[in-house]
Amino acid sequence: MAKYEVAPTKTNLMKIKRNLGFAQEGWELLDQKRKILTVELMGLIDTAVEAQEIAEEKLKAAFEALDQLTLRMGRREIDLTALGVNIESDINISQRRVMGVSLPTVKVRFTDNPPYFAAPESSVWLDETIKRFREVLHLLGELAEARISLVRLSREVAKTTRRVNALEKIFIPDYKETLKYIEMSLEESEREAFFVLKLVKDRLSRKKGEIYE
Amino acid sequence: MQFHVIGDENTVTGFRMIGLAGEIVESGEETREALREAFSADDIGIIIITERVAAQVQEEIDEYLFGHDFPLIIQIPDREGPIEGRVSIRDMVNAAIGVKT
Repeated sequence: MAKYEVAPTKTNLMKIKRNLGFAQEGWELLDQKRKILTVELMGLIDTAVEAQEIAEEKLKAAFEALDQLTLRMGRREIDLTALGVNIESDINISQRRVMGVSLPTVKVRFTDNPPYFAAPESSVWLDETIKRFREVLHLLGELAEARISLVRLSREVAKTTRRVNALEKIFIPDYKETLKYIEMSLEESEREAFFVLKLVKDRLSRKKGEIYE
Repeated sequence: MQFHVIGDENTVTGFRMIGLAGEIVESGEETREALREAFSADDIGIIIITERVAAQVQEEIDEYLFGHDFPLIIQIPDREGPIEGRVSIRDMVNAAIGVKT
């Protein structure tokens, strides 16, 4: 623990007191912020983990359908068919702010314009692939929202924790130490001054006595 | 805004089936280039990138992830499934808030 290098004066005492008060207030606020963020974070974890599990499961199914489709149609034919597929997806991303952290909210919307291909030539897996990938995409919107929110929140929690700790373990004790030092020095010099005063008074009265004698 | 897919042939083809634009990449350099392009396009809202491809340029992705609000980046497994040594969501959070498990 170290104290700050300041002259033990009344002005500095007041300054340090003010700083200490400010640091304590800041600590309280940051601690609150950390708690709120942590609650938010904990609430999001389950959502994110679940979203990831479901999305990945669906994605696996989608790739399986794609494999089946590749077996039946061939890569080239798929690429050509894909050109004809007219699905428009639109993402709407808005921001939600929690304690100064901006969290995204994602809305995915599809606009279908079927049909995309001639039914007789195509395989049932074609429809299946498109259906499954669409499902995946829908889930990916949710997953993106949850994951990105988590990443940002946890970063902010880490940052806030560091600040809380810095205040709690370094700044506040240092200020307190300095405050104590200044107070003690001031008391000491006060006693000294008082003593000198007594001495002077004593001498003066003795001198007076000598004169009147 | 639009999705943009960066990944191996399979993934990109799959998402092309539902009308998403995408870029097939293999090497780290290609991935970097594709990312740069995606970031400079202003109609892209979410970048979908496969884990295997992303692992080659993980540092840059992290940088984008923390430094920019848009676009969002999301990493998904490719056809072979999740890559080994993937950090789970829970572990990532625990590491960030300093909980040891």
